[in-house]
Amino acid sequence: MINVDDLWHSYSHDKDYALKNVSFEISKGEALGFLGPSGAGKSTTQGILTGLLPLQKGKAVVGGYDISKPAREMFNRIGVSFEQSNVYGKLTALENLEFYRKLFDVPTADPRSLLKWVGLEKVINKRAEEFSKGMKHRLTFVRSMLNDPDIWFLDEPTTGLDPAIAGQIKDIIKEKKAGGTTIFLTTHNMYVADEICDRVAFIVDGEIKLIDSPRNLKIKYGERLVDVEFIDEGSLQQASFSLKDEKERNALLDVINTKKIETMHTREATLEQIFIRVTGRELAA
Amino acid sequence: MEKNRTRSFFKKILLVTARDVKVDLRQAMALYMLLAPFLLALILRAFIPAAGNTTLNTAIIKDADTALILYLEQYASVEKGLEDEDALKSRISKTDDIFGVIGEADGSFRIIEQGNETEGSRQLLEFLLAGYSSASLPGAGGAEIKISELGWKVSPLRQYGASFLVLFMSMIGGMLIALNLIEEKMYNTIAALNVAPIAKSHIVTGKAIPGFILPVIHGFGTLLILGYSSVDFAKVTVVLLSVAMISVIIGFTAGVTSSEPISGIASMKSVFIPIAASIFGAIFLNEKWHVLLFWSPYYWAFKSMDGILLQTAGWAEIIRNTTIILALACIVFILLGKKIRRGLA
Ligand SMILES: Nc1ncnc2c1ncn2[C@@H]1O[C@H](COP(=O)(O)OP(=O)(O)OP(=O)(O)O)[C@@H](O)[C@H]1O
Ligand SMILES: [Mg+2]
Repeated sequence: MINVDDLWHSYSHDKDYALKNVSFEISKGEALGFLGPSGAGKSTTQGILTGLLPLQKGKAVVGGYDISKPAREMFNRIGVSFEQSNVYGKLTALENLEFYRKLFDVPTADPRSLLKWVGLEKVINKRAEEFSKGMKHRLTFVRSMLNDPDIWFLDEPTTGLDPAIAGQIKDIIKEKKAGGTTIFLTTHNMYVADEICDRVAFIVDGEIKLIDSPRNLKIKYGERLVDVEFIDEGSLQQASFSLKDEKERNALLDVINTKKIETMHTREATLEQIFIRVTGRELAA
Repeated sequence: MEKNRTRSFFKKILLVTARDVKVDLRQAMALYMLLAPFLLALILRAFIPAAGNTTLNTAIIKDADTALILYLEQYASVEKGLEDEDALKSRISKTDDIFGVIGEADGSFRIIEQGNETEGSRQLLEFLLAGYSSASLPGAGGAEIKISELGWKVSPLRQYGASFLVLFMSMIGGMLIALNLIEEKMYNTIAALNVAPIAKSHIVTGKAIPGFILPVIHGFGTLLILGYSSVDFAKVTVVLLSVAMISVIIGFTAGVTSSEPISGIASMKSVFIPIAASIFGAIFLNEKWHVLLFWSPYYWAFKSMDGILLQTAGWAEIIRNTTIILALACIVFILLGKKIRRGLA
């Protein structure tokens, strides 16, 4: 559904590249997560693939449309949710969606039920300028679903939302994915990527370092960890120990033998930890 | 299929227009701009006593000719019963707009004025009195007095003021275009439009439409408020649509180059000076200096409007002036078009 080959991009049209040799593909019904720290080039990639940024170098085909000469009608099949919410403040939630839906030449979803889906049913007739940040974000998100897109671009769909709402959004994405929607998802939240994506791409400084499924990554790079909470000199301490590393195993034994243990859990390495191991960089912004 | 596509793109263009208008109606600044021309026209009308129905005020001494009083009362308000010429003079010296009329023994009239009276009223009064004299001579035919509203050539404030207001206010459409574009940029809603199946040219067309319709609505409203109900509105429309071109081009330019509303309005305001200069130039400069104003579309538009209001302009003249305006608009577009296209990308 999406084929990207050797994409380069420089905002300043010089050697200062925001994207370097980015190549990947997403097959029909697949969800690819773009995982990377702030400034890595995630939004830049989405911008190029949705025609908002010019294609400078490389090749990109989205849903059969060559992005170097984008056709307007391709947007009947594409949905784009933006990192920063962008809705009309002077229009109500419903008016925002009603306006946008009429731009499509294909059947569209009922705005009211979409708004209900993201918990905005009580404010459909309220102007978006009165919305909180999270409400605007949800409105931006549901707008991208109006045409029931085959290909869905989601730039940070859950960032900045409270956990309950983020969970709702995640469920909606999963449901759409189950329905066969192809998804390009950008995030620096590894839990979202882990839960939704068939494959994740680690991107740092404009370069893709690795693409694989979360499961493979965990098998390949993962290690079991033990988290321990213990009392040391009267105060509660916390530490994690890898079971792979001998030094850490001994340190863990030392803690068990000499300190008063409060809690102890084993867990798998997270995508975040794998990301740090592979790229040497933190994910968090 | 073709028909469907045509219908769908008209639909989308009008959708963009409707959204912009809806937002204008919900924004205090835009709403004010929509209403301003009518308010200004009403204010202007309040300053023009002779607009529409005449309110020519006269005063007359106690023992003046009754026939004269009856005659004047048909056309003007007449204050009677002043004792003598001195009383009349002191009455006239008050600040209001009033003329004294004294009938001389030889049948002629003397008009007493203070100098603060509305220009044109005096001509009207002379005209009325001349009409009375000829009517009272047997056979001279009172039918000569034809009270044509335009024939009076009253207040230049009304005549020039109307043209000035109509042309000046044609910029409002462009200002609203700029404001709407700036809003789309500030909130990046333009990006959402750019990933929807609507062509950029349709977005631009949809946003341009109010810039053409508003000057016509504003122009008609202003003229009607100022009492010009019998001018040729087809000609007015042609003039307004042509100057709207310029306002629309400038509106788009201000919209794409400004990042917030205040600077957008400010950059539009800079156009006011050339507009005002060309109109005042056309009014006050000697004809031989008018060549200095030929570069300005507003000069040609003013000439057209003036001719239309005086009902002296024929279609040939209107079309000639309009062609010049459109040619100048093309030059403006050549200068600014690239900037607009780049800004919209
Ligand atoms: N409009 C722009 N003009 C110039 N440089 C830009 C622009 N947008 C992004 N950049 C630069 O390009 C690089 C990649 O930015 P991008 O927005 O793609 O990152 P991102 O991975 O989406 O980050 P985040 O997680 O913060 O959204 C950054 O170095 C950024 O500073
Ligand atoms: Mg981003």
